[in-house]
Amino acid sequence: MNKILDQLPYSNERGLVLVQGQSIPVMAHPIIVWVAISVKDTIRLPESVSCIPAILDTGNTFGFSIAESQLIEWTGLRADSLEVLGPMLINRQELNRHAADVWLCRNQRGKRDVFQDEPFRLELRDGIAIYPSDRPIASPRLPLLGLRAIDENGLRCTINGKNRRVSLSAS
Amino acid sequence: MDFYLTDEQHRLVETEAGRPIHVIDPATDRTYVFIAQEQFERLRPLLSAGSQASHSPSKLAGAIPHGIRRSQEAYWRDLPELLSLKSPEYRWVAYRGDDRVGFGRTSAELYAQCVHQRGFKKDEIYIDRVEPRVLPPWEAEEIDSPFDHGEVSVPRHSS
Repeated sequence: MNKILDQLPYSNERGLVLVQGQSIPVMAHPIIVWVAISVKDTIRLPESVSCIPAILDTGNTFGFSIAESQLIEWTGLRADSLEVLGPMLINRQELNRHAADVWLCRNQRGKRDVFQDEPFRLELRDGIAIYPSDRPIASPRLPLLGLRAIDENGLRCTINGKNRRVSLSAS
Repeated sequence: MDFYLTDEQHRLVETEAGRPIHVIDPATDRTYVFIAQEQFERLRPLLSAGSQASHSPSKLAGAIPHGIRRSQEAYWRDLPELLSLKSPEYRWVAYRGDDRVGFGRTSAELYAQCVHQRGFKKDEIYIDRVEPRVLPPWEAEEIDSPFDHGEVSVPRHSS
């Protein structure tokens, strides 16, 4: 079994997640995972690419979505450098889907913010949704990794509410 | 304002026998759907309801590069046939315009083949799964996301 998230903890209290020197407040209970984003023809993710936090949100029915401001500030990628694949409506707001690869950063067992081994590439047929900065559109506080990413890649997700741990693996 | 069909367009309408016809404005790549008056009247209430929704027409809509759009149309056209070919080696398929470039186990493998080996531009190819789709890839799917509409914590980029 190909472990991606190994007993990754989540908290029932508010907290912070540190991303590139910024402390981002996190509500109680969201499952924070770390991802990297790359242009679509990336063969191997360069070591210099930073992982950024995202919420594993099984209530979200898309694969991956991110605010344009976060994309630029945290990954250095510009939306206009990622080919548009089509439009979509999220909560009745019209956005574009862009071609990009999302990589899930593997955690050290039981630790949320410590990584190990090479990230796992998620193959998302519809690309990623980007909330544009130039329109008054409500965007999520953190990027969202939705159920479709798990489903489409045939991943197995276990959420253990007894010890607040999440595991994710590929077969 | 009324437009009159050319003979060629009239023949196309007859051939399609009531099915919607996609009309593309080459200047903007925006797609329009041509339907009969009676079909439009049936849809009118839905369109009125839609105009009251919170989203406004995106200035990004229709921004699919022309080459990708052509490739998507070829993929959508061939999808019924592709589904019958699906296998572990044929999980993904790549198109460049009307041409099917090939199949692969992963999209990464196909991107590498198209871009790095064959020198195709990324804005002229389309790679998708050999899986059913509800809508053509260029149309807007509606998604539910029950996220917290809080302020984004990162400063807005000024460009």
